[in-house]
Amino acid sequence: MGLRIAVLVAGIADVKWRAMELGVALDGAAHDPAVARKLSPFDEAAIECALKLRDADASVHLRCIVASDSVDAGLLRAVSAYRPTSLQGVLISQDTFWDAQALAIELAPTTVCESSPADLVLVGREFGDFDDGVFAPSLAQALGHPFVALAQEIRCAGNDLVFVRELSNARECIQTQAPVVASMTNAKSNRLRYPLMKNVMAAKREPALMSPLAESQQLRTRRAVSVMAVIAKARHDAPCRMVSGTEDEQARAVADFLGRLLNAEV
Amino acid sequence: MSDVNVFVVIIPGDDQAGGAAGLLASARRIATAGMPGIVHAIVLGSPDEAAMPQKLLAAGASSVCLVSHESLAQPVQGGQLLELLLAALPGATRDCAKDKPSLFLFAASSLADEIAAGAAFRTGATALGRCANIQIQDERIVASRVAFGGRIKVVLSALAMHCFACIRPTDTGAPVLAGDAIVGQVREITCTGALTAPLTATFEAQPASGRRVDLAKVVVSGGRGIGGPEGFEQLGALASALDGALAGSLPAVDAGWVPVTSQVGQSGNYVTPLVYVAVGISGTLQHLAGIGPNVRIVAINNDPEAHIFQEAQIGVVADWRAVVPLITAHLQAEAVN
Repeated sequence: MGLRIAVLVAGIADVKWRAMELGVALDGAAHDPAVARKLSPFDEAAIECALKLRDADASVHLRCIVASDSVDAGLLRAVSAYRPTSLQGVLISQDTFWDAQALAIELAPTTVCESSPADLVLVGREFGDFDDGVFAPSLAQALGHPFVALAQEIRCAGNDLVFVRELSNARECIQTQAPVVASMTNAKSNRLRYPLMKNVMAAKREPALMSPLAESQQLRTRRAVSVMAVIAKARHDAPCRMVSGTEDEQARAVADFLGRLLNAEV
Repeated sequence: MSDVNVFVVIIPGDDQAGGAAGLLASARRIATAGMPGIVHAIVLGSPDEAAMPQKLLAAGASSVCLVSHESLAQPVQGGQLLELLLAALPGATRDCAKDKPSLFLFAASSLADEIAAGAAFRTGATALGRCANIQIQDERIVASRVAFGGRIKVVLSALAMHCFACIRPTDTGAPVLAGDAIVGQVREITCTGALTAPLTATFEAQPASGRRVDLAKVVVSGGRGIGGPEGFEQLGALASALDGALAGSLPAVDAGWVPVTSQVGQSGNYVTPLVYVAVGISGTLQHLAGIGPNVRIVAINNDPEAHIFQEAQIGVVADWRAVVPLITAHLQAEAVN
């Protein structure tokens, strides 16, 4: 059996929905089921990198886990269209989504591929709408694996895995042995391919079920945050001040505005 | 006396990112709202500069703990820094009230995310993530951060006693103490336990992409409307005149005009500068999801119907090729005067 890869995806609420339309209640508990979940760019990067590894070696076992707080199976079907070796839809309560550590503990056992631990666990650098980078390193801790952050490409080199990532002034290649957890960030090189139409149709015909996991004792003791309030954010109420005049007058007005703003900050 | 023990954890690169002293000043405001409280600094690895301990003391640190290990890989890696922090925590926190909650603050970065989340997991603490604001209410740590790509702000209360969080330093970190008024002490902790072997890393040099966009006070960003990589040289000049960072939208990154590390948007960096200058950017929701809700936007676009003008505070309908060099020239002339 080849490399065992587990990819966890969470999806995000379609960005066309504005804050007030998302249906998140003041306590963070409720969510409008009509708001469809889509793969985030980071989910897509994780899936594409796993598919590239499978392209290079047909013996790769690709397991995908779709975690969502919605029973809508659209996200599950979207992933199914890439024909992973195994696929699981996991229904997670929204209060767990607010707590990335608890979520990592809950999802860590799902990464097992056919009774064996995954060699490579991939997850987007942000896991769903609620996470800002805590989930992936927490998952590495929950699994006890080394962690590589913000990878853009992955390739095999003998028994090692090589992760490529872009720093501000260099490309870094990190070589390590499995098992390992990596968070993926989007790049031109890992833009998700379109699935074959026959696979899209096959995914639509298959039953797709989001099933809850039994809450473990460990999870109950580790839940670490509670939501006090949720506030819809509005950028500002005032209309944009349009600057007219010649190009030089416009430029001077903008320069004055920027200068005043920055001087006030100093 | 503060209700919470507050620590700032300084990691290599923090000074480049925005200032260890600035993080300390922000932490002092959190420690006791309205009356700067007691904050201790833990410096992991070699400080970016030799004078950092004195800078931190002058910025108001009650103590500075320098934590080192002779086997620390260079450049530093998150896994080793996490081990170093965990090894040093008992010594670094020995003089603090054990019955009070503790808050460990990092300057936001991907490396800090990794260490803070790992340390929280290993110590049974709460990982609060990247917070916009943190307050201490009745000996409890309450944090606000954004979710849903910046569309929603959530206020979280930590249930665990101790918390690890990342914030973007908003203070300058200017000295508040001098001379005999500096009473804080510097301690050194040299860890000797075996560290996990570092991951093997090799590097290919690339042209430096300048200041980090996620921590800059001014971001000048270009989109599809810039038309090519040459235009970003002019935007770079404007960014330099403003002491800011150069960024781009997804189409600009996809076209290869700016590196992906400089991408702003839902699929790129989330930025919260003082001002965001959007040039040739239409203002899709995906792009706006990467800009903090309180950020002032200056929009320059030749399409008066562009959505960016609905979100901007000040707008210019013009060809950026004509206006941007003039803005740069005016700013440079102002700086000379």
